[in-house]
Amino acid sequence: MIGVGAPWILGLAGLGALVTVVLHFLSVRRPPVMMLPTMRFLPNRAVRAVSRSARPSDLLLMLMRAAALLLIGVALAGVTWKGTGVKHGRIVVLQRGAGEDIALAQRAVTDAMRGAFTGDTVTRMVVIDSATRVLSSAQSRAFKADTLTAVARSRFDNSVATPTLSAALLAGIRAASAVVREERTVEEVDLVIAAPFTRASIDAAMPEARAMWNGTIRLVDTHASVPQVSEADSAMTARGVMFAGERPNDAVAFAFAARGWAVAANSNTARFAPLVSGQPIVLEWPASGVPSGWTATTPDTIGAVVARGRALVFPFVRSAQIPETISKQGRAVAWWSDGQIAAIEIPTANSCTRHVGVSIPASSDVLQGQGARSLLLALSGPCGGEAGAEPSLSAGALHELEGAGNLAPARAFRSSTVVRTPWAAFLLVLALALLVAEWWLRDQEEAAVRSVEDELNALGKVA
Amino acid sequence: MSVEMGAMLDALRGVRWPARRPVAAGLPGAHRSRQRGTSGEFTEYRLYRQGDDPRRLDWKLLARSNRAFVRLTDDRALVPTWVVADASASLDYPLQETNGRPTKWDLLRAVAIGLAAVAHAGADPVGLLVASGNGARLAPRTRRGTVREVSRALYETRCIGASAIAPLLAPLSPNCRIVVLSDLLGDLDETLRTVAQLIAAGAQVDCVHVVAVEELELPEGVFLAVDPDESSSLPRALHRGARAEYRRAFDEFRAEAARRWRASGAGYLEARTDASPARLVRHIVSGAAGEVHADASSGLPLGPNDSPTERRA
Repeated sequence: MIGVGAPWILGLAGLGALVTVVLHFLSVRRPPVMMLPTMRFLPNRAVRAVSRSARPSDLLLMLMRAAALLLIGVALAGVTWKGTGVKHGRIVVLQRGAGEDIALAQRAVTDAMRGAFTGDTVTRMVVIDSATRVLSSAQSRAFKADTLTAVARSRFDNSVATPTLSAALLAGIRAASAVVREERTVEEVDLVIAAPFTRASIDAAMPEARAMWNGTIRLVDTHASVPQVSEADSAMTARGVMFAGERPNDAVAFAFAARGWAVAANSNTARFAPLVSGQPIVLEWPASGVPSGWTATTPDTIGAVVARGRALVFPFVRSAQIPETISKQGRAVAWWSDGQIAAIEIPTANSCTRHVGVSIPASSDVLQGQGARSLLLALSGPCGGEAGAEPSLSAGALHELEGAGNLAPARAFRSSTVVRTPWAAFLLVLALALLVAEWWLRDQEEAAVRSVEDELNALGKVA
Repeated sequence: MSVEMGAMLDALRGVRWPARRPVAAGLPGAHRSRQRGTSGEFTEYRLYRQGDDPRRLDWKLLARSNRAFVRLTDDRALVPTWVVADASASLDYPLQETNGRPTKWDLLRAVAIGLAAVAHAGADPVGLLVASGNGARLAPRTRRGTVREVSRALYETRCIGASAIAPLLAPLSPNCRIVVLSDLLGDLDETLRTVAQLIAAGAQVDCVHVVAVEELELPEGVFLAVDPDESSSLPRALHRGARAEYRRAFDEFRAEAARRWRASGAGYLEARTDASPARLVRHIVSGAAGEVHADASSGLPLGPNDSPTERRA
């Protein structure tokens, strides 16, 4: 089976060869000489005319020119002998994240890998947790769904990255390109994305990312079916925080304690553990409003802090600004009303630490009111966000994202750059030799014509 | 002499070539002479005038009528016939026979030999002048083998160079019959001037204008035409747009040539290469060429199916 890397180059070469052949049939040149006694009755006009003949002129030159053009085209178009092999590629993207149901993920992987390496199908596995890993062919073949449980949940539970479909799509496109590049016989690619899809999975890059995949997608939702937790219920859940670093003022500690949540200072886990099951939330909320690592700024007033979609209005004094290096490491959980980060969550080995740059006056009761509930819930919630907080995507939305039609054609993932034929150098040298021979032959013919014309001129035959 | 030539001579056996008008005095021959002589063929009586030969007096009539009459008789004389063949390079066209049609030179040669044979059969002396080529010249003779000599000279002629017919005609005696066979692409003006002088002096001149069918119907395609006669002239392009213009100019030339020849008093016949040589010879010797002059102003040439008899009718 012959494959062409750049068919347009081959088409151009063929078109050039065709034009060359046509020009040999139709050329402006000195027509053949014919003795005509009554020549004097012909109008006296130019002796050069378009000569159209049923047979091509200079057949050898025409063949050499056309062959040289075709050879160059074949060499540059990347014409290769692909042989017979796999025709279907399958990309399985397993995206992990908070809210994932391990059993669903295992089942999705098992289903997707069924028959993945039989017949004419080649499969490539992509796992996205805290990083995106495109497994090799051998790794994909050896991948077992059981190994999903061996991966520490903290690798993705505490991940600051929200699992998004666009990220999975881009990883799938990258893997598809690798498969198509490695397996030249692949004609179409099947994409399976297994991920805990929530509404947050659809980000602004989604439409463009979806448009890049020119085919249908199989989406398998691995989102755990956790009942929707209302804010009130969330508030009723036993919570607890451990303060670290500079001691917060009493208004802060009291705000947590007043809601019945466990509060410990200086990482006193012994006191904390009996109160709250699960991993502790370490909170650094200095009274000065300048957490460690933040940049102290000239104090200015700002009117509100936003968390979980609710604003806490108060004449706050902002005294610090989070450096970009730190903001890149974590996930913002609260923002000032002007959009700057007011609190950030930075994952650690088994937990996470939240740095809060909101200065609360010691005598203030701003955290006691209902308006502060969202801020306190956001600061005391589990790392990576509360499971089940985000609603799942509807079946209609998933179906729309899956699309309809055929699988994505492999040519969409092949590079448009020039593909070198293995024997490109030889073909180019052969074409060059043909062109040199054509030049030599043409020069010889022109010399012969010149000599004949000189002879005719000498005889007075041709003026 | 080829087999075809023999067949043509067989076809012309018995054909006579009478002079179109009384010829000048000469050796006794088959043509009526302008001279009233002493032959036995009585024509009329005339009163004796001083100076008449007394031997021509009809003594019996003088005895009966007591008046002196001279007995007049018509004289018969020979007419030398010159066959003038144009052997310029332009006659060697087309370069090879196409569709069984001969070249212009082949047709000219056949017609020339046929005319020589017919004239020789009428006991007229036959001579040959070849313009250009090898410049062969055979003085008019009546002896046996004259036609063979003419034929040999023509077969040995190669069409080379440009023709100059007028210098050949100028020294000829007007008391003869001249047939010019040419494609008229040479010195036409000078030839016509010389012919007019000869005719005025009493010569009988006929012109056989040889035209190749390929000159009338040019081959398809684009060519660079070169004149074989005038090698120094610039070549011209023959293409589709030039054909109509060429044909119009060539038709005008042929019509003008016919008109000028006829106006000079000569006979004119256009002979295409697809015509039968024997038929052309019959046409010429019958004098129809001269008659055609009168009614052929339409420019209609003698085609392969036209017969001289029909033309005369």
